[in-house]
Amino acid sequence: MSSALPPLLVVDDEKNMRLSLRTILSEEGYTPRLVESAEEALRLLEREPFFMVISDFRLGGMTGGQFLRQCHQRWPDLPVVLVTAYATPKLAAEAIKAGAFDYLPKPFEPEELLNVVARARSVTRCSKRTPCYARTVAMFIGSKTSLANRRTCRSCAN
Amino acid sequence: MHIRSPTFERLRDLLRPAAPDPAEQLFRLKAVERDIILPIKLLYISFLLYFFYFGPWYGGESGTASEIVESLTEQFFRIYLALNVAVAIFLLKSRRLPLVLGQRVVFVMSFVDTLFLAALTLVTGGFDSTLYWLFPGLIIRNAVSHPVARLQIILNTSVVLSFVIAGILDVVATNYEGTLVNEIGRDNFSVENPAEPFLLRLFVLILLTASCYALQVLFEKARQTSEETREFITRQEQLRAAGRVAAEVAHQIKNPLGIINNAAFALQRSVAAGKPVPLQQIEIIREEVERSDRIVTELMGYAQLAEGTVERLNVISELNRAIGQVFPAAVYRGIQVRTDYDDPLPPLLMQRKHFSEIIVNILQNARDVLPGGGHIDVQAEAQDGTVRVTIADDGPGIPPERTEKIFEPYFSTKPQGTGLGLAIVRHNAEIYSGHVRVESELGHGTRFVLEFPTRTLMKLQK
Repeated sequence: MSSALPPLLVVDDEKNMRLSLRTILSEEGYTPRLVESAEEALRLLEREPFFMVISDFRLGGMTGGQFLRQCHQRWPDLPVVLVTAYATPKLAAEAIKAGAFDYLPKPFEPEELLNVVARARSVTRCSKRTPCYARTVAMFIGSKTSLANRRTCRSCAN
Repeated sequence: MHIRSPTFERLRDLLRPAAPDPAEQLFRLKAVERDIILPIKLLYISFLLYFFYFGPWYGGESGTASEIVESLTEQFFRIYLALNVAVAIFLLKSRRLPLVLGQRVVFVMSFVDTLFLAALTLVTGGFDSTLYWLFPGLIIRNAVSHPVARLQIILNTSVVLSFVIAGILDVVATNYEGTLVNEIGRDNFSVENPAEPFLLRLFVLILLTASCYALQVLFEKARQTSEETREFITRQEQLRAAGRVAAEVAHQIKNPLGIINNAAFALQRSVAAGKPVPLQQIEIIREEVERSDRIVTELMGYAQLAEGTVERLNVISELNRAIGQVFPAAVYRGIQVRTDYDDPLPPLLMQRKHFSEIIVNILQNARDVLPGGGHIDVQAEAQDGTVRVTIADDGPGIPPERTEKIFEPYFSTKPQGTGLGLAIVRHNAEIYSGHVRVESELGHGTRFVLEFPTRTLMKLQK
């Protein structure tokens, strides 16, 4: 993949989840950095650039929701994808409202995640060239198409 | 004609008898028939005994209609007395009064009471009898003792009819005697027209029957409504707890599933690309399968807490063992555990595992709220057949709105907590008829108070 692309941050308190995501993402050409808490992630984000963040909703210490709000406040352009086992439509709506780029219920299909990551990457690129409103439009189109994409992915996997 | 107006329908709905609660029926039967009616009847029958056998005013002229009626009433009284003695023995002797039999017995007795009162009314002046005032009493008694609408209506209608029949018979008898008197040439005496007081008295009885029934229906409906409200709240709570259980199970199981799925995906890709098999992914899959298995076993363990053998536990050594387990001396230097036990303490008949789980879970909670060190006081004392164990910490305390919730399954404030710890504590205590409560104030620590009766049988889980 693109060598200029900054790494991607994975926040999950489960070691095996971090490890399995690292394998999948690095196979796809991304550079994942793994941390186990939101606090650690915030410290890292202050120091280094990342093109996106994938975070679990339930974390030790600060929750994924609180982390998302902080990220959105401090780095409004940074796409944050929330992953959770407590997938309810209400939580999904709240996450999107709080500024999440997308929301994946566990167990998700790895293709689905890769699709979201690819979308986040294109948005990040877009944000560098275009004004904010264009990025919003791109995100809007992206989130509208993500459902369709997921369905396609699922049918491919089946 | 079939009336179908909405008002009529509503009225009919309102008066439709509600099914009374069996426990409530039994309670009423006992309270009214045994505790109130029996003493009243004792007085009533004593008075009648005096009236029939020692009273100076009793005994009519022989050969007259009233004499025949009186002698019949006296015969009836003997039967009535015997029946009352039998029913009194039945009500007093049966320790656990069976509802259906009790109801039948009391129904028959109420009916006989009515007939006997009617006979007495006939003897003492028919429609004008002073005993009339016992009829409303009978109606009220029937209404209270017989919450079942059909029985109550049958009985109270029979009360009204008995009064009417007794009155009419009296009028007939009086007229007959009047004719006899005429025949033997004595002065004709006027028979007072009984219609007016009769109608008034009859009206009172009918009104009372109707209002007792209506009151009964209203009370029953009010009781049912409040019971339903309570039931709704309980069900709602259960649903919420079940929702939390579902959410927790989902989280616990979906996490390993997600990881297994990711690892399998990576494995599939490597194999498809002809790369060497990534052993780490296989390792991850196995670890997660093992974890899922542990989760399921834990859940099953929670559901089957009541299995195992009961032992005679030495409370002090069990407490010390639990303290040693949660605070290995080498690891926890910051937390000081102080103990204060009554010695000797009566033994508790419990499963060792259950008692240990209770203490260990509370101690672990205390440990978790004291990351920077602190004090934990463990006290055990014996008091009035109870062993009381108190575990207090000087941690941050629990907000008041959480003190009851913390005992619910899957309620956890700790990021890594399963939410089962204190639910297990309460469950384990309750199966031995013990109980646990928490006293806490924010900033002033938390105190768990456990009380176990020393002499109770274990309540087996249904």
